[in-house]
Amino acid sequence: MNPIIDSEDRELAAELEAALRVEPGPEFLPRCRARIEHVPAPPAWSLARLWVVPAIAAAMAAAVLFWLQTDQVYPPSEPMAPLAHVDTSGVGSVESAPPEHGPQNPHLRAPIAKKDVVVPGAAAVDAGAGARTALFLAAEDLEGLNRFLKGLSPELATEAIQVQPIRIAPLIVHENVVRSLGAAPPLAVEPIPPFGPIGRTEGEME
Amino acid sequence: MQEYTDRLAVALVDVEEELKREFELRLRDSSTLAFRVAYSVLRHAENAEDVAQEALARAYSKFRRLRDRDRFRAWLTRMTWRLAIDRQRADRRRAVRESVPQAGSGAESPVEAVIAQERAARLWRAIDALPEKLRLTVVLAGIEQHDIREVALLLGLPEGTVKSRLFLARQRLKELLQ
Repeated sequence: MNPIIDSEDRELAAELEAALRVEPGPEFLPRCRARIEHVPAPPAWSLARLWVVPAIAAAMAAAVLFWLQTDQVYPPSEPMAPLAHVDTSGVGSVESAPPEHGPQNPHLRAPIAKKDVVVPGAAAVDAGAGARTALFLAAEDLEGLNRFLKGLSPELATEAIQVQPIRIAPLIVHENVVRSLGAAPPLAVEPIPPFGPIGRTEGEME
Repeated sequence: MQEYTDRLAVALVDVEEELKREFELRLRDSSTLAFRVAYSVLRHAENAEDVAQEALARAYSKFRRLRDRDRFRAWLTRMTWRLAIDRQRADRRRAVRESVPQAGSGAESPVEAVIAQERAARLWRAIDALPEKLRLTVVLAGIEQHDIREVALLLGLPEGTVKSRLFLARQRLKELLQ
């Protein structure tokens, strides 16, 4: 007897089991086998695994190539001018780039040319006539760099790197950057006519 | 290279043969279950065999993902049940259902056989009146003397859920049969 059945339900369970005690015909299994023979066999999982391994390897190779490309240091497209030839007359001023085309949107800030940005209190590090690098450092960083250079040999410090503080000009903002909004027009206050008596029209609810 | 491909082909053939042998075991083990599940819905032996064959063919096509015995039987049961329900809805041949076979009916008198058949017909009507969840649970519990754990495995449900469903199903059946 079915172990999940209470004694009270034995009769009902017996009826259920009797009702479900049906057997398929003798040709059922052979017909099943014949039917399965006509079912197209799916690709074997071993074949699937054979495809998975190269796919994973290709993905890993692509990832490594991508990582190497992003990590590569590209040479400069054009040789940089020596620092001695760099015009530093504009250093210290902040200028907005003029709009190239189209009406100027007052809500959008014009991009600022990178060469015009100078941190107040910074100094330029002149790497010499043969070098191609110029750094702008804050004053406290400059002090740290000087302490480091003092620890190097005098030849390295004097021939390879020359540190020269530059004079920081006051911040100049050209007039064409700032536009005066002009004086606001005076507010006109008009008197409101007094309300008349509220009349009741036909159809209104009380 | 040729030797490698030959060995690979032999290995794949071996895998296919092994899978066929394994499925043959599942076929012998579960084909009657599939037939009875289909029969409990359709009550027509030929239609039930058709549905069971369809379910077994689908099981064969996905057999590599269903090699675990419990999962295979559960998947086959649910697939057979759904196919049988679909067949029942599509097929309007319910009027020509076969009479319910009775075990041991040969030892009974014709009058007793008629009474038993009438009682079985009432039982099937009551089973048909059950909600689908209760019906499948009570049918699986009645097939092959499955216990609660086996029914829970077949349905993919917790044993407590199966227990409560069985209790509700029996209560409803008793009410309907009185």
